[in-house]
Amino acid sequence: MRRVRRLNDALWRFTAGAPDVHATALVSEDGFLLGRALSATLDERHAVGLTHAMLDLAERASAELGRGRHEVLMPSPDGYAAALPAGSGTVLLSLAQGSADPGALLPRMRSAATDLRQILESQR
Amino acid sequence: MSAAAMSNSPSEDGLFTAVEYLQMASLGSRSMIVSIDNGNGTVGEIVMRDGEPWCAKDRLGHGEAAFLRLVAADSFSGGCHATVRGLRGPLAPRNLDGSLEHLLLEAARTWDEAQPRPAERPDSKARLRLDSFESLLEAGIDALLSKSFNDAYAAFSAAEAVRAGDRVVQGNLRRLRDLGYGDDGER
Repeated sequence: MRRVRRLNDALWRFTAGAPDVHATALVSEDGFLLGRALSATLDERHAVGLTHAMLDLAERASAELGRGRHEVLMPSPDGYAAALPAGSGTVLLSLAQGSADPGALLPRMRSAATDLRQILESQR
Repeated sequence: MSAAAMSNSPSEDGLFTAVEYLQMASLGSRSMIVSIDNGNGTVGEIVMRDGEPWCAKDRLGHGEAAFLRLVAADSFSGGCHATVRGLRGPLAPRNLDGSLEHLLLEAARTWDEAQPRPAERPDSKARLRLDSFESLLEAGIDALLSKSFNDAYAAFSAAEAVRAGDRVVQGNLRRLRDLGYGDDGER
C-alpha cells in the first residue's frame, strides 16, 4: 500500500477512534498539508496556519523555559486545538469538541504520532 | 467528526460519503444509522451496530441487496448524499452478514459487473487514474518533506491534472504559489 494511503488511513483511524475529535491533519513544518481527516466545513488553510503559529509559539516557549518537548493543548469556548510533533518535520493537529477529555486527547495523539512517524520514515 | 460524536448527534449533513461514515463506525466500533438521500428524499438506510453492518433497507427491498444498491448509489451516482444519526429505539432485525470490508468489496464488484463492457473498461481506467494520482501525490509530499519545492509544485500540478479538486493538492499548490513557486514565480 502506498505511504500516502497509509498516512491517511492512520489519520482516519485516529479521528474515528478518538471521542469528540472532529478534524485531524498532518502538517509539515513549512506549513504544507500532508494528509487530512478534516470535516468538510473546516478551512485547511486556516487549520495549517493555526497549527504553525501554535507550534512556533510552543517551540519558542519550551526553548526559553528549558523544556525539550513542545506540545500544545489550547482550550477555547468551542473546544480544543491540540498539536504535537509527528516526526520528519511534521506536526499532528487535532480539533476536538468541548466535551472531549483533554487528559485522554494528548496520549491518543502521541500514539497516532508514533504510527505516523513510522509511516513517514518507512522507505521512500 | 468522530464516529463517537456522530452517534450522539442528531445528524451531520454531507460531511462525508456513506462509505466513509460506515468505515468510521467500523473502525470505532460505533452504532449509527446512515441515510442516503438522492435529492428527492431518503432512498434508504444502513444500520451499523457496534461497528458491524446490521441491517439495510431501501425502496426496493432489504438486506445485502439493499446495502449494495445504497452504497452504489452514494459512491457511483451523482446527486446523492449521506447523513448520519444515532441509533435509538427498537432495533430492526439483522439482515446483513459478514464484515463491512466484505460488503464494500461486494458492492464494488456488483457495480463493476453491472457496467457495459466497451473495449476499454471505465473502471480499469479509473483505477489507473487513482494509482497515478496517488503516486503523484506521494511524490509531491516527498518533495515537500525534502524541501524540493519546485519538484513538489510539478508533482502536485500533475496530480491536479489527473484528478482535479483534491483539497490537499489544491491547498499545497496555493501555498507554493504564495511562496513564489510554480508557473508565475519559478525559483
